[in-house]
Amino acid sequence: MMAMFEHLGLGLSVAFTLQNIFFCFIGCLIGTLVGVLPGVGPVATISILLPVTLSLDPTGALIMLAGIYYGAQYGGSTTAILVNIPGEATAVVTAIDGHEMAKKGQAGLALGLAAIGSFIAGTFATIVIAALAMPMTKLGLLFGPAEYFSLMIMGLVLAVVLAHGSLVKALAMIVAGVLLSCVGADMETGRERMTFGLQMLTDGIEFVVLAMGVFGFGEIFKNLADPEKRDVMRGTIGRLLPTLKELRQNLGAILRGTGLGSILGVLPGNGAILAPFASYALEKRISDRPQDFGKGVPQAVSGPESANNAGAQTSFIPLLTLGLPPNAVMALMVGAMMIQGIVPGPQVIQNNPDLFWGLVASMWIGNLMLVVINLPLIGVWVKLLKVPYRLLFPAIVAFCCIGLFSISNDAGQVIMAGILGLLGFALYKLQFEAAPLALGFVLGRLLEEKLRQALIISDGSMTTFLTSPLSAVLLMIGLVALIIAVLPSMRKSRDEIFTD
Amino acid sequence: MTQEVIHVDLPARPPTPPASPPSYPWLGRERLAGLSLVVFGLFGLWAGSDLPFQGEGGVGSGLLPRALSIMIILLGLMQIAVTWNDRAETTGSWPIRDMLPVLIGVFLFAITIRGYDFGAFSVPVLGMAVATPLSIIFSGIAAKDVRYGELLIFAAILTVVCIALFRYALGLSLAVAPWLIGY
Amino acid sequence: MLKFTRRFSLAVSVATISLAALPAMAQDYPSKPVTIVVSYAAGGGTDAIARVFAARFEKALGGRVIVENRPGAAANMGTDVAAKSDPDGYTLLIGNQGPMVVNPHIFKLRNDPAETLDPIAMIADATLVVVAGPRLQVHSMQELLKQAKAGELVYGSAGNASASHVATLLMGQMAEIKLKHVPYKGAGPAINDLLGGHIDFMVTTVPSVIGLIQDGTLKALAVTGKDRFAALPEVPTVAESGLPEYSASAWYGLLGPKGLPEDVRTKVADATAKTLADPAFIESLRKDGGVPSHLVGQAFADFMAAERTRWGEVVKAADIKVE
Repeated sequence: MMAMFEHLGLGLSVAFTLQNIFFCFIGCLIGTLVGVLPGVGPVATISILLPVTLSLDPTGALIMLAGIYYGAQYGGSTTAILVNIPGEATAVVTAIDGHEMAKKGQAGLALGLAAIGSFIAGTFATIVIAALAMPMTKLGLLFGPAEYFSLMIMGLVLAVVLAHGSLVKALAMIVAGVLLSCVGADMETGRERMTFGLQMLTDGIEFVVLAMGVFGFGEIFKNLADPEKRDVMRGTIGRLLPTLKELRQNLGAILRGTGLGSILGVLPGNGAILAPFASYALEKRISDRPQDFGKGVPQAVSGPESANNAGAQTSFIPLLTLGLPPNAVMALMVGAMMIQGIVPGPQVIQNNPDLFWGLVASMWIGNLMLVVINLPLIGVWVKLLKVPYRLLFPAIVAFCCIGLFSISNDAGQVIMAGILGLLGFALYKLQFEAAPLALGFVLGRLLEEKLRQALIISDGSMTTFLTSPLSAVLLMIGLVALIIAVLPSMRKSRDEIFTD
Repeated sequence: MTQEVIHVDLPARPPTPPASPPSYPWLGRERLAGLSLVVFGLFGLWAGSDLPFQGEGGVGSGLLPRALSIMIILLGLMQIAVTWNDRAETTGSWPIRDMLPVLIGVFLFAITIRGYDFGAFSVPVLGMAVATPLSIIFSGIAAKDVRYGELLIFAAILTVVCIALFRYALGLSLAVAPWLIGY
Repeated sequence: MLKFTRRFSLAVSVATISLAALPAMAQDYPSKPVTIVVSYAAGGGTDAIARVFAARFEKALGGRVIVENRPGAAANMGTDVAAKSDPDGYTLLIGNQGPMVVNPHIFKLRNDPAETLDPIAMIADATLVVVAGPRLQVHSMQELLKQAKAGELVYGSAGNASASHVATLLMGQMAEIKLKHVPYKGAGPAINDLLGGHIDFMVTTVPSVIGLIQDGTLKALAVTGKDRFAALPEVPTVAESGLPEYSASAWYGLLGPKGLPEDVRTKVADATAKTLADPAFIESLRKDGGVPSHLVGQAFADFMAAERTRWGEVVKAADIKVE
C-alpha cells in the first residue's frame, strides 16, 4: 500500500511539471474537440500527430496522446447527449437517456453528471491501475476465445435490458444488429459476405457510419417529419450544473459504474465496450422506477458514463504491463512508445519508472483537466441548442458528411450513412429502438470472431464453452439475466390479456 | 411544453393526442413491424444464400448469417402473433419528400468532395469548398421555415470554419479546392 | 436534378481547366502537396512506417507530403487508387507484400500491381519472429517442429493472408507438418491468447513482442529473416534451425502509377534514397523493428516478382482462395 503511494508520488512529481501539465491540457483539449466532432475519432488524430511527437520528450508525448484519448471519450458523450449521435460504441448508452434529458431541458444536468461521474471514475481507476495493475493483467489473460464468446453472449442478453419497449422487438433488433455485423469480408477466409459486389461494403459496415446514419441522420429525418416536436429543446435549458442533492442521488450509480468499468476495461480486444451497458442494465435492474429508463433518467447517464471512463482508463493496463494494445488507440500508443525508443512490455515499469508512473498520474490530472475544460464548456454546448433548428441540422449534416468521408476517404461511406438514416427513420416509425441494434452490431463482430476461433481450437466441439469454468459461469449469468428479463414481460402480457 | 415531447418515444402506449386510425386497418404499426422483420430476414437468407455452411472448425461463413436470418423471421412472426389482437395503430405519415433535400445534399457532398466517375460523365474533384456548402444549402432547404439569405450566409461561414478546422487544425487529408488552389 | 449536376459539373470543369490545368512541369515538382496512399487504416504498422517515412521524405523532396489512408477491400483499395491516379508524381503508394504479391493470388484484382504500378524503391524490411507461449514447453525451433510432427499445434496470426499467416504457412509446408490456424484481427489479440495459453505459438513482427521476449514471458524460438536480428542476437534464424531454405520478412516499398515522367521519377527516387540514408529515419525504423532496404527501381521490381512467385506457391498449396 505504501509502495503504491510512493509510486503515485513519483508519478505526480513527473506529471506535475509545467511542461507536462501543458501537454496534458493540449491533449485533453484536442481530444475533446475531435470527440465532439462526429466521425473524427482519436485514432485518426493520434496517427496524424504521431510524427509530431517525435520532437517531444517521451513522457510529455505519451501524456499528450493519452489526453487525446480520454478527451475524445468525454467529447463523444457531449455529442451523444446534445444531438443523439454516438461517435463511439460506448456512447450509444449515454445517448439513450442523455438525449432524452436534453430534450427535457436537462442537457446541462446530463453533461454535468457525465463530467463529474467521469472524474470520480477516472480518479478511482487511476488508483486501481497503480495498485492492481499486475493482478488485473492476469484477469485479462484468462479470457481466451471460448470465454470471450460467452462474455459476448452475456453482453447480448444485457442488451435486451436496454430496451424499454417490446421484448420481441428488442430481441429482433439485437439479432438484426448481429446480422448487419456479418456484412463484409469473412475474417477467416476473406470471402465477401452479403456485399452485393458493392465496394463500400467489402470491409463491412463501420460502426461510426451505422451510428451517424441510424442515430444522426435518422434523428434529423424524424424531426423533419414531425416538425412540431423538434424545437422544444430550445425552450427550456435548465440549470447547467447538478445540485448537491442530485449528485448524492447519482453517487451510487457512479460508483457502481466505476467498478464495472474498471474490471471490464482490462479485457482484451476492447472488452471495455461492454462496461457502459452493463452499468445501464445494472442501474435499471436496481432502480425503483425501471419503467422510466429510456425517458431521461440521470442515473442512466452518470452510471454508464462513469463505467465508460473507468474502462477507458483501465484498458491501459494490458498496454502498460504487457505492451499489448487492446484497441486501435492503444496500438498507436505502442507506436508512440517505440518511436521514443521505449519497448512496451513488462519491463517498462522497471526500466522507465518515471514514464510509467508519470503516465498513470497524468491520467488523474487529465481527468481533472477534463472537468476544468468541460464544466465551463457546458454553457457553450447548451447554448448551441439555442441555434434555430433550421440552421443547426444543416450544420450537423455537413459535419457528419466531412466526418464520414474522413474515416477512410471514401464517398461511399457518406452515401451509406444517408441510406442508413432512412433505416433509422423507418425504425422510429415502426417503434423499434436503435440502441439494441447498435449494440448487437458491436458485439456481433466479436461474437462470431470468437465463436469461430474457439471452435477451431476445440476442433469443432461445442463443449469447449462449458468445460471452461469461466465460460460456463458467464453463460449461466447470461441465462439468468435472460430469464429475469423475460419473466416480468411475460407476466405483464398475461396481465394485459386478463385486463382486456 | 416539455411534457409533450417526452412521451414521443414511448412505445407500446397510445400516443396522445390519439392518432387517427390507420388507412389500412389490417396493417397497423405493430403488424407492419413484424412483417418488416420477416421481409428483412428473408432478404438476409437470400443475400447469404451463396455462402458455405461448413468451414474450419465447423462454422462456415454462411452459418451465422443464415441462423440469424431465420431468427429474425421467427421473431417477426412472433411479433405479428403477439400483437394480433391489439388495436391497430397508424404509423403516421412518411413524408419522404420533406427529407429528400437532405439526402440530395448528402449525395452531392459525396460526389463532389473527391469527384465521381459515373461512366457517362464524371464530376471533377471539387473539394470541401464546394461540397460543404452544397450539403448545407440542400439540407437547409428541407426546413419548412427556411430563410434563403440566412442559409447562404450561414453556409459560407460554416464552410470557412470547416476548412480551417478539418484541413488545417486537424490536418486531415481533405481536398480544399483543387480547381482553385491546387489542393 | 441530374441535368443540373451535369451542367454544374461542366461549368466547374471549365473553371478547372482554365485555372489549374497548367501543364505540370518537372522542374516545378513538387509544386503542390504529394499524397502517399496507405492501404490500411490509420494506426497500423504500415501506417506507422508510412508516416515516419513521409515526415523525412518531405524534407528530402522539399515539398509537403500528406499520408492518406485508403483502407478497404483487403488492402486492394489502395492499389486501385494509386493505379488509377494520374502519373504525375503527386500520388504515390506505400505497398507491403500483402496487397503487392500475396493478394494477386487470392483475389480477382481490378488492378494488378505488377502491371499498373511502378516500383520506385523498397523502403524497409522487417524480420518476423517465432514465439512460443507458456502452453508449449519448447525451448528451440527444432523442438517446436518435433512437437508439431507429433501432434497438431495451434498457431495464431494477425489475420488471414497476413505476413504472419503466410510466413507460418511456408514453415509448415517446408517442415511438412500440419498446423491449425486461428486468425485474429491484428497481432495484439493473438498475442494475448498466446500469453493466456489458448494457442501454442505464432509468428509475428518483432516490435509487437520484443518487450515480452526480453522479459522472458514469451520464448523467441527463431527469427524468419535471412540473418539474425540485431536486437535479438542470441535468437537463431529459422534457416539455422533445420529449414535451411526458409526466409520470410515483412517489407514495405514506395510505388507510383505506371507512366511517371522520367524526370519526376528521378526526383522521387533521389529523395527516397536520401531519406533511406537519413540517420533519423533509420533510427525510427529500427525502433519499429525494421532495417532500411536498398533495393531501388529494377532491383525492387525483380524482388517483387520473385516474392510473388514464391508466395503464390505457398498460398496455392494451402488452398487459400477467395472466389
